[in-house]
Amino acid sequence: MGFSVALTPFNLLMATCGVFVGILIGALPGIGPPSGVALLLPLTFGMEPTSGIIMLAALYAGTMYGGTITSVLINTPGESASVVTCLDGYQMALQGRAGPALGIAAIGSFIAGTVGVILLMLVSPALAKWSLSFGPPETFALMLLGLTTVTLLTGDNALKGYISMVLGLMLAMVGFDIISGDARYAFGIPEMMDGMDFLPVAIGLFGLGEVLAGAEMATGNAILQGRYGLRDVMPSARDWARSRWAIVRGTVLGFSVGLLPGAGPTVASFLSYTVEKKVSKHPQEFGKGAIEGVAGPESANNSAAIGAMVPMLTLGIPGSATTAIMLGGLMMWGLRPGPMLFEKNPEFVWGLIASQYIANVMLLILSTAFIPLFVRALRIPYTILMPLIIVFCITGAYSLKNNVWDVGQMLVFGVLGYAMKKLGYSPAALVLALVLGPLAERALRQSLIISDAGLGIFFLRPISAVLMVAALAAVAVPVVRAIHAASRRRHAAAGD
Amino acid sequence: MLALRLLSVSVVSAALLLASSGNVLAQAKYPSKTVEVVVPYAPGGGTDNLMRMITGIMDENKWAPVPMNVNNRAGGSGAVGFSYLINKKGDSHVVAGATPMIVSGKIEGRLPGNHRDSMTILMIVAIDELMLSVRNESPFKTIDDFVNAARARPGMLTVGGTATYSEDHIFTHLFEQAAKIKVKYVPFNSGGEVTAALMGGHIDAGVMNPNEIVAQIEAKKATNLAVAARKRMTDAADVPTFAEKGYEFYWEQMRGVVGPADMAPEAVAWWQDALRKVTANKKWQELYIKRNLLTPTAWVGEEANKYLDGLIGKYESALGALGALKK
Amino acid sequence: MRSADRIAGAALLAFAVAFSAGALKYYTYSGPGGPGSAFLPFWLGVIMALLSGAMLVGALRSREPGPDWLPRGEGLRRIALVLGVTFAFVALLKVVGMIIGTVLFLVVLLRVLDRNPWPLTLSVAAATAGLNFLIFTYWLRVPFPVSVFGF
Repeated sequence: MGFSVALTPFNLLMATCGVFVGILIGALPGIGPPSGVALLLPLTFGMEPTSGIIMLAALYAGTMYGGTITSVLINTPGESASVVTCLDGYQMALQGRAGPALGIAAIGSFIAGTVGVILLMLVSPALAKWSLSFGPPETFALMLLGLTTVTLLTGDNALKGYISMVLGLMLAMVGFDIISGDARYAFGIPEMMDGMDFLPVAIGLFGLGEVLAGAEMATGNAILQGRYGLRDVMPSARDWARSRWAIVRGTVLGFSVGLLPGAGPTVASFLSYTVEKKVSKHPQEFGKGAIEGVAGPESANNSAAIGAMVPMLTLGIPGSATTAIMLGGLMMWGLRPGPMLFEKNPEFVWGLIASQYIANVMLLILSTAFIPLFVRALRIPYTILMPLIIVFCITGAYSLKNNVWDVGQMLVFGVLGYAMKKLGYSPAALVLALVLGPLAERALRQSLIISDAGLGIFFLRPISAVLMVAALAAVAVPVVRAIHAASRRRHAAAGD
Repeated sequence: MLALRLLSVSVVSAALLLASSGNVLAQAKYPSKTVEVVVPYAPGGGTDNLMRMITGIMDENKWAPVPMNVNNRAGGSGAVGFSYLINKKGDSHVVAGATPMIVSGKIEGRLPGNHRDSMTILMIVAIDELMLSVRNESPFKTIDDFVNAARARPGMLTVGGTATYSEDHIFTHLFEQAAKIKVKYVPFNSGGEVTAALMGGHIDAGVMNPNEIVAQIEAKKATNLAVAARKRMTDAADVPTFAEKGYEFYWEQMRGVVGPADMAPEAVAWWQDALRKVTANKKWQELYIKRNLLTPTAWVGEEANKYLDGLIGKYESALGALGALKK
Repeated sequence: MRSADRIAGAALLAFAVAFSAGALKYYTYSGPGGPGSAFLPFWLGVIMALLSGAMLVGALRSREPGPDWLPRGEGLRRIALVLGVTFAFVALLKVVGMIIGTVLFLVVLLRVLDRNPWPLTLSVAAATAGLNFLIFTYWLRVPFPVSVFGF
């Protein structure tokens, strides 16, 4: 029934426009999904609500993919959910495999989007209930589990990896502490009071940092040139074999995380990356161009975006900034998202669900068609590309909040990123800690207020208990193993 | 080349989008150029919705001869955006969405001035009430149930709200004083997170703006115990006020539009007139006021300033009692 | 040169100590319901001090050459130029505006750093600035800083 609503020629046109503009907006750094949707929302007011929401849904899907393109090609994330794609996507590009990286991202996004829509259609109410069972203690346990996986991102030098992570956590302390109202380490500067904004940090560490490293030599970082026909840029059978389970895991994980209030696509993509590295048979390839490191997170951020729609549609609770804006849009059309929406406006809900599906198909078609064009950007000589990337980073950091402050922040982190790269630290561990740190601290302290500082709250609730045990095991197992190994070495030495 | 591809892509889409908006440039005394409409908060929040609604209605009816450019300048709970506005002293082509921050900012030392000395209030367009809500599985069916339970177990019941030293926090503090109880205030990051925690049963009650909870009320999944208004809300007349139940306190959030200091008189007059037309518009009343269960107002000039003056003392005493004014 | 690890270790150690001390001085260690706003910063500072201390000791003891601290010669000149021009661009952003700033920035980097021919330099700079203006200023209405000329 939804498809009969969505499949009118006009709505299909709107979906195409949405995906198209979305890819462009997503590829522009700074203008991410929330601002993109906010910018175009007024345009949709003249339309039928269904056409309007179809365009917005398509736009949203497009922006999620657009961010991936710049992450892969120039190591500069267009929006925060594709930051993690820099890690392996850009490495693939350096090896002349930008095409397959973008291709697998498109396919993964498509599968994740499709499965997400089906889940949204079939089991929304049950899922909504599940998402509500995540209170502060469960959120803390999940974030703690996520933080333990940072150890996987440490790179070659474990000590420097841990230093990077703790530095990220320290930076996460900057800004208003919502529990006490203290503006920590803000030095009275209003721009610091909301904390280190994640995207300027990531653009600096990855985008500008990489450019500076490349700027040392006139040739820059050698990018292997490949052939860029439509067939050459598609993932090979081997790529597909390696990625398929990553996509499945990313989809499921992303959708589940998307359901939770306050988490969202960025957290989902990071968790997916660490999961992939953990389960991989060749974890040493991660960070050096492992295709699973692109496929998993790219699937996860897409299904998380759809997962976030479950609480919005069924409960009227926005799960992310973007859904909050769409919620505002729905209200302007006179629709009130919430438990009654399915009963009162079924044609709208099914239209929206069908439009999500159409947006996914459009995205797959358009992105595949465009990949060869995008990849050709890498043919631009590095001496020209380098200054352009810097302009790109600066424009992006500015347009995020229309503030020169963020540009300065991006520059500082660019220099830091360059130094970290040269000296063997792990920018990835830093940004993961920066993403998860504030969520973990807030949930911890909310839980402790509720429980009057009793730690039992984390272990007496079933979901939280399971997650806590998993987190503690993740810390304990390597330690026990290390001790075991050390004692065996001693035995061996004694036996000599 | 990527740049060229992007160029053609952008030309097409720019043309596409501009064709649909169609700005008419006319010559009037004011406004004579693009007006910047500052939203000092992130996209998707209450102030963002308000200003996009206002500019949307003005665009739709072609009341503004120039483009209205809505810019989010978020940071420091509004401090970045309002400081930007204050620095535009004498510039009639910048306005901003107003929250009580234009009063409390100076008290907390986050803004260099307030509505009297550094800004020009153009109109207070609505009052957003604050209420205490519970989910239906809760043992509390009335506000008396809640107060009695809080008296029996002082400091044990949890009340969730957005941020610390915020309107929600002050609400909780005033409620504690009026009912002579003690509760645990649990701060969350956004209204949506409070609603989620409330509906999941992780907190006993939540401080809510009507629009944050109305979807749950309609589905009969939550109940509003009481509202901190002087009289019952027109669109939710079954919700008692705290005062009528014997816990006398009043607390609310105003929403409005504010300009910088020394705005030209003709600009002030133009905005007041435009906002009057907006607040009289059917779409405004149906889709904004009614949907969000707001109390409509159209206070301008001294009336608005006097209202804001009245907030100063309330904020000083409440924030002082909560310990926000350490220095 | 193992000086890089020594310098970084010492700098991080100092930062960590200041971070912890600042937390205790300005924020509250325990609030209602356990940890307050200083709790986590304090302990993070302590952990960082331990980690950076370990690195410092390791670097002082080690005889192996650590990573190079700075590139030398031509590399250093290029990095310094790129960074200098970029910082100048951002510092002057509010004076020259985004569009003119972009042109100047690109001209300097394309011409001075890599000696691209003038026609190429100018056309890339003009195209980028034009594109920037078209997308961000005209279409997305991003309020870029403007020069005295109004763009």
